[in-house]
Amino acid sequence: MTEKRFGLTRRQVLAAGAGAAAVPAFVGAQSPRASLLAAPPIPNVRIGFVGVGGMGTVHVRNLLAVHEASPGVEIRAVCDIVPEHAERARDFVREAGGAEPTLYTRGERDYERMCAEEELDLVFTATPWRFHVPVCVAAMENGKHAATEVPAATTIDECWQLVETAERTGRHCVMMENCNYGRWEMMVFHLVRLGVLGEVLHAEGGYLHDLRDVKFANRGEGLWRRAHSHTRNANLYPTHGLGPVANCMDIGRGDRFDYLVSMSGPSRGLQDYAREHFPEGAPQRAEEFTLGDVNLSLIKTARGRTITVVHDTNLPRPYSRINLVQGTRGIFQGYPNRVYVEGRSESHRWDDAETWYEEYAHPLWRNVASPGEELGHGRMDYLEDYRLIRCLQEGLPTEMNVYDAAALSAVTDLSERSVADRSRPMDFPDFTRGGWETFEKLPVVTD
Amino acid sequence: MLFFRSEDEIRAWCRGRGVEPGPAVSVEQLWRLSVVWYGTRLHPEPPRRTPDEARAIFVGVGLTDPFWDPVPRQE
Repeated sequence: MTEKRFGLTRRQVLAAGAGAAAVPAFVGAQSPRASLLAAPPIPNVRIGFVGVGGMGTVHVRNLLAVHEASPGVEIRAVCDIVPEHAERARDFVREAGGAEPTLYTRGERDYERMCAEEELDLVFTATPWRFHVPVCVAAMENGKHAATEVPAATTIDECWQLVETAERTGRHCVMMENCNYGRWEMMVFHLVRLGVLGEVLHAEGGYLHDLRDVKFANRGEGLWRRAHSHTRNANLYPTHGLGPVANCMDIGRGDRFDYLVSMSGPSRGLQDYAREHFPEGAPQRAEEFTLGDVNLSLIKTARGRTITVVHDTNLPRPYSRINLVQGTRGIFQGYPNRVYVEGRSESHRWDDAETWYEEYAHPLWRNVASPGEELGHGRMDYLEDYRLIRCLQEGLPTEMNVYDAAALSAVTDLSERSVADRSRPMDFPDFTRGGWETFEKLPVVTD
Repeated sequence: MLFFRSEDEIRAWCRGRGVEPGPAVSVEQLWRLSVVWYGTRLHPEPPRRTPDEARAIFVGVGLTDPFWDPVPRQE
């Protein structure tokens, strides 16, 4: 044990005492890490938003709806490289009865001016991936909490940058993994917490989504997302499938990702799509892609458990995140949603998960009304934004912290290195520096 | 550094936020420590204490947690 175990050093405590003389109170020295996990309450959360295209607009509308249901959210600034997008967000704020936010539209680094000039509690980014880390860092360096769309980072160095900045500044850096708030994902989490599945030993997740038209679109994500497929052979988008099952396995709170092996198959889908959808001579037909159409990664946890995570975005197929959680007493599997629990289900046969929902729905899904399905991916995006605001308002630990963001996002870099080296095992950094053994498990929140 | 009415309140606050409690110092300990620790600060050249002298002061006011050890051991 070192003198720094509790964050403040003995010297810092004594130095503070020298200035304040004798302070009449109990003193509990709190580490920067502890203050990072639970910041002081913010009754009225003042937000600056960076990137208000597709998902950014969804979040803005959700946050306005959260404010309408329970006042205490203020969107004070909006930043986007497309002025019309910023103006659209401003109009939503105005229509909701809010004060007009300041717009920042002077190019792709104008978020720096926003972070420096505005009095904000939270900077929320839904930009292309390469801006997630710079925006979060600018926010935290200027004393604001940060929230980012997924993935939080795309390299291990970037993951550390987030962790170290959050620890140094004592600010939250939350990765907005909406699938953690999905109806079925939350029911599975509830089943696990109730012990219905027994001890969880294995999980599977993934992002299996035919994105060919999105990647080749001449707007929105099509303007930048395809480029990652040119240069990287990896699991480019691990968090939707991995986030929910990681919660079921208490990753970062009793267990952690230890190492990963990964392999990718051939790259065919995007080339075929370009050939079939663009005329002879179109530049898209000349593009070459590095990304294997299907990437498979296996993760071993420090407690010896296993997770598979799949990335499959270039081939014709129905959507799936797999969402499988298997324990010593039973198993849940998504797409379609089904449950098997020994002693309750008919032997060797799946139950339709709907027959379990009435009894085991997560309390958040029972108790929190949503303003409408149209606000993004059913209710899960709303619940995600709602819970972020609740945690900030009440000074609670956020349900996704910077260590979670780093561990989940690290899969991209590690899978790329493993794929490039005959699936050699790649160790996950312990971003918590041992904290995973004592960090408290996520509770089943009720409202 | 945070201030609480009792150690029960410290534990409840930490439990609610999923954080580890830090070392707690009572009002009486803080007063006794400050009398000794800062008692020489107005000297033109306040003496610099050796680790043993510092440890004796901390132990003397009941601060025996490793946090207060002037020669910390590495983890």
